[in-house]
This record gives sequence, structure tokens and C-alpha cells, in this order.
Amino acid sequence: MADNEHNDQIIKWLNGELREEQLIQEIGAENFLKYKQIIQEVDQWTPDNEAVVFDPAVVTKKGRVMTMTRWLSLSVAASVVLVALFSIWLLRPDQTVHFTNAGEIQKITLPDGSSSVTLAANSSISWAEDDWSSSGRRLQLKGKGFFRVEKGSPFSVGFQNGEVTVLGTSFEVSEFDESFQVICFEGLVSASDKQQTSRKVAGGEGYLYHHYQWEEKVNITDSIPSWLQEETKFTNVPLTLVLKTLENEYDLTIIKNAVNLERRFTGSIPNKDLDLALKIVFDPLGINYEVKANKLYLSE
Amino acid sequence: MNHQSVCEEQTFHQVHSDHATPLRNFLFYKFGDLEKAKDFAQDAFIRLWDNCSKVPFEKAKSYLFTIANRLFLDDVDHQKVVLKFQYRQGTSEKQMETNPEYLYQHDEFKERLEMAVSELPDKQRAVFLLSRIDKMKNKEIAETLDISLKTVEKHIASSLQNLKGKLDELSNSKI
Repeated sequence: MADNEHNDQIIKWLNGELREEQLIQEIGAENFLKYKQIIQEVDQWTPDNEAVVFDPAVVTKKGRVMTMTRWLSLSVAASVVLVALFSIWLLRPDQTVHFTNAGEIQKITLPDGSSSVTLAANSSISWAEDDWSSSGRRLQLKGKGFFRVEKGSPFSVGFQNGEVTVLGTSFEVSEFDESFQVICFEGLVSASDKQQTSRKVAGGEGYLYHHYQWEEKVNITDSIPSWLQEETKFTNVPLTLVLKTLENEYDLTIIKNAVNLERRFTGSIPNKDLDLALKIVFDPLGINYEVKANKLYLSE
Repeated sequence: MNHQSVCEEQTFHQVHSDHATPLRNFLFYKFGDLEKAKDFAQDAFIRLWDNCSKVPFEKAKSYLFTIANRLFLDDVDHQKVVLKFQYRQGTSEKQMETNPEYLYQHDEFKERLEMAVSELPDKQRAVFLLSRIDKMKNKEIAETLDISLKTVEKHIASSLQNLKGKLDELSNSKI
């Protein structure tokens, strides 16, 4: 703009650092009065006198808001009731939930006092009080967890698409999308899907359940999960599992575009070095990637 | 270090009551559609709630503005911005009376100024109006929009000079 040379003085005047008379000296009375008139007019404006934009409780109670047309309000009312019932169910006093955030690992001692679970990033574990008794130990897993189970009553880990039961051992369960992987480090565990087809997984063995099928056994040489140290090791796993792990460890959202995710990956990726991790995973597969604002964009 | 979490309903409500109106106004200033501004402001709050564990309390405000701005940018059908304003409730008749000092004719002044404001560059306009209408401090605007204090000041001063330029043009063409 042609006359922006007065910017500094105008700023000072607006900030109260320059008196009116001084500004008038600089820019002339006419200009000054025009500025003043503009400001006084704008200062009285508002886009809308209705200040409340919406009720925040709508967001916190339901998580999702729709425009309420008449026919919708009924279903909304119904879902509010459902949500309320669900919350009551969630808040049952005897329900215990532990969860980890992105990039976080947490070890939790279980109610029998001697068994433990180490949760990988973005995972959760929950149980009800009556899940733990002399006749059995039960809990629910979302995500990935490494379990050390002391001998005792039957111990079972349920998750969306299957269940693992053991007596006393250490093992890892990692569920992702419709699939899961069970690795046993010590002892013997039984892993089953929803159709009750099962695999006995002995120490040093791992099984992948993918596309509703059990895949060939994989041998594991480690005695504890690799992700408890600096890296996560994969042996012939679908790319989807690797992406899930990256998302959880590095708090990313992955935009997969049309990349074929059925390819397999074998290798180790570091847990604290995103650049290197991305190089290791995507370079050999010829997949291009770009990270922008916590989003990872893939393309081929 | 503030340990408030946006996941706490009370904190979330606080964030909402502090920022919902400025956020909606910002979107309106920038894109010129009050209904959409409301919707996208609300969507931004939903995103914030969904991601509450990942957004530290201190970042909530700039998160909201960034998300809402992006929602609007992603929205395909942009229209030419034509802003209309109401007078604040409680603005007295006296304040609206013609001040003898005024140089611009009071007739149609509001309409002409609205037109001039609508023609300002988006970013300038948003910053200028947040400052004047929402009474946000320059520093606060800078934090919220992730720009420097200098840029905020420059936008405000340039807006004022641009508005005067446009109004002068309009007045001359009327004569």
C-alpha cells in the first residue's frame, strides 16, 4: 500500500504509546479523524448478538453433534439415553481401566499381586472385580501388551477378535484392525479366534491371525518383547501392523492413500527415531512418504 | 506448568466459554459465512474433545483456530466475502449519533465501511476485527494464530490505512 509508512505511529497510537496530538502532527488531523471514525464504528459492531455458539455439553456428552431437525431430535433423545446407560455401565465401581497414550509404555501389576502386564503405546487393559477369583483371572486388551503370568488359576486375555488362555507364562498379544499376533516367550499359551479355532503357542513361537486365518508359526529368539527396549522387531507381518505401531509410537495419523498394505515386512524399527523408522520401513518397499503436522502421507 | 487437561469436562467447558465466540467470529471475519462459521467452530471443538489427551491445555486455543481454519480451507465452495454486522446490544443511541468531528458522511457509512472491510485481504481483516470487535490483545492474537506480534501489529495498521483508502475512494466516486 502506498501510505503504509505511518504503520509504526498508528500501532503506537493504538497501543496507547503515542498521544493523539502527536499522531496528528505526524499524519495530519484529517487522516487522524478518519481513522478514529473507522475505529469507533467498528468497535460497536458484532457479527451476531447471540454469543453462545452451541452448548459444549453436546460435545462432551455425545462426542458428535448433528443439526437437530425435527425428525432427528427423537433419535438424538434415544441416543442420549443410551449414552447415559453406557456411562453408568462404564462407571460401574468395580471396573478397572488402565491405558497408555501415544509413545508411552506402562507396566501394571495385576490384581493377583504377582502377574503383570506391560502396555505398549495407545493400548488399554480393563477388568471387572468379579473377573478375578480363585476360579480364573480375566481381562480385556485393546492394542498391544506383554504379559507375565505367575502360576495359579487359569489366566485369559480377551480382545476384539480372539482370546488367549494360559496357566503361567509370559507372552505378548498385539491386536490390530481385524487381526492379532500372539507371541509366547515362556511356557505355553492357547490362542483362539472367535470361531474357536485355536493354536497352542509354545515358548519361542509366534502366530499371526490375519484375514480370519491362522498363518504359519514364526520362531522367536528373544526372551522379552523387542519393544521393551529401543526397537520393535517384526517377522513377516502385514504392513498394516507396522503402520499401527508407527501411529502408536510416534502419535501419527497415517494417510494411506492407495498404497498396498498387504505386503509383508520383516525387520526392526527404532521407537525413538521417526526419520530412521520411516526410512527402514518405506524405502525398501518403494513407498514415498511425507510427514506434515503429525500426519504421514504415503504414496507409491 | 499448567496441568489442567482438556479431557476434564469442566476444563473443556471453560475452554469453550473462553474461545467459542472468538473462534466463530474469526471464521466469520475470514470467510464471511456466519452459519458455516458456527458449524466449523463446533466441529473444531468436537475434534478437540476427540483428541483431548493429545492437546495440552495451553495449546487448546491455537489448536482450535488451526483446525477450524483448515476445515474452512478444505471446504470447496468459497464465496466472495461480504460481511454484514449488527450493532452490539447496549450500544446507546448517543454513541451512534453523528459526531460533529466526523469527516465521512454518516449516511451509509456503515454500509460503505462493511464493504471496505469485506475487501481487505483475509488475514488482515481477521486480525483487525479480532482486535477491534473481540477486544483481543495483540499478543493473544499472535499466540492464537501462531504469527508474530509484529505481523499482528502490521495487519492492524495496514487494515486501518487500507480502509481509509477504500472509503476515500468510495466518497470521491459518490460526488
